[in-house]
Amino acid sequence: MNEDKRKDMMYGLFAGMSNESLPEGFNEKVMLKVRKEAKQRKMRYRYLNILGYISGAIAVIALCLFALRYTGVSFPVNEYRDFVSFVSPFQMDMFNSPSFLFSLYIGGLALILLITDLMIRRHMEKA
Amino acid sequence: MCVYIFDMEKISDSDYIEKIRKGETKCFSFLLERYSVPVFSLIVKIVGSREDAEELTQDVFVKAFRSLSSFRGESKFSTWIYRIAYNMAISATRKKKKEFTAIDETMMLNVPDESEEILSEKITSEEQISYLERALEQLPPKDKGLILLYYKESKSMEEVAAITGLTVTNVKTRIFRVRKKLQLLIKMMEEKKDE
Repeated sequence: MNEDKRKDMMYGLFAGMSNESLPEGFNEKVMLKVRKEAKQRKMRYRYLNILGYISGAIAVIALCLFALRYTGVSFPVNEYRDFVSFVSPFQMDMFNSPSFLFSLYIGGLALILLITDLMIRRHMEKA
Repeated sequence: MCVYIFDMEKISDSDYIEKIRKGETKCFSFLLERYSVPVFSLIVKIVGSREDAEELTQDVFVKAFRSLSSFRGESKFSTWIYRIAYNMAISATRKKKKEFTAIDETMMLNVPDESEEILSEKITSEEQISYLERALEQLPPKDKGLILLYYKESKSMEEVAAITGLTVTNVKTRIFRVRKKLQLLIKMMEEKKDE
């Protein structure tokens, strides 16, 4: 077979064939569809984000309830009643109280969630 | 921000793709400007109807935009978009079954390998092109796609293989056979005219 297309008569004939003209307003119609698609994608991404946050929140609440039930950390009902003693940072016995353990637990969870959120965001940006 | 049309030639496809991926949807119009005519022409010739081709070409570009994140730049953007166009056009023709001219294998043996010998000097180049267009209409869609990509779109054998999903050897063999088929069809048309 003649590998050199330029020496091939068929090539000359094909080169003589004209390109089809585009229908009127073709590119504009495509761009409209593309913009619509981009908008839908943005919305999908937003909905997925919201869904992610809701699922995350549900998972955390479930985890909290599970932990409160099985790890021995209890909600400091009595200490919350005495609000002033709870918020005062000068009470040294606070560090040994159930409220301190509870706050540490909530803070730890929040930190884990923030780090997870950051990692997911970075992963999604890369993708 | 995307550049204006007079700078279009200087900017490569991958630059536009990068911008589109970053959210500049407007930049897609530049890729559209570059490829809509050849892609539309290829699809019209494969499916044989401008109306169907218009719809299909729109779908090709929307699909390309949607899948742009999966384009890894292992092949040229043109090869990638032609692959989408070729596959969609072939699928569309499968739905609309059409009869094609069956050619006797023994008749093809009489056709010379070099195409310079096939066309008589009695007919004008316009007539030759018109014969070629009519002969193309009689080919099955896959053969049409192969030969158009190779000759009309000036793709190399390797690019045609990447677009169609065939091996290079397979592409070579098929183009050789399709070319012979075309030569035979053109010859038959010439003989008909002489009668």
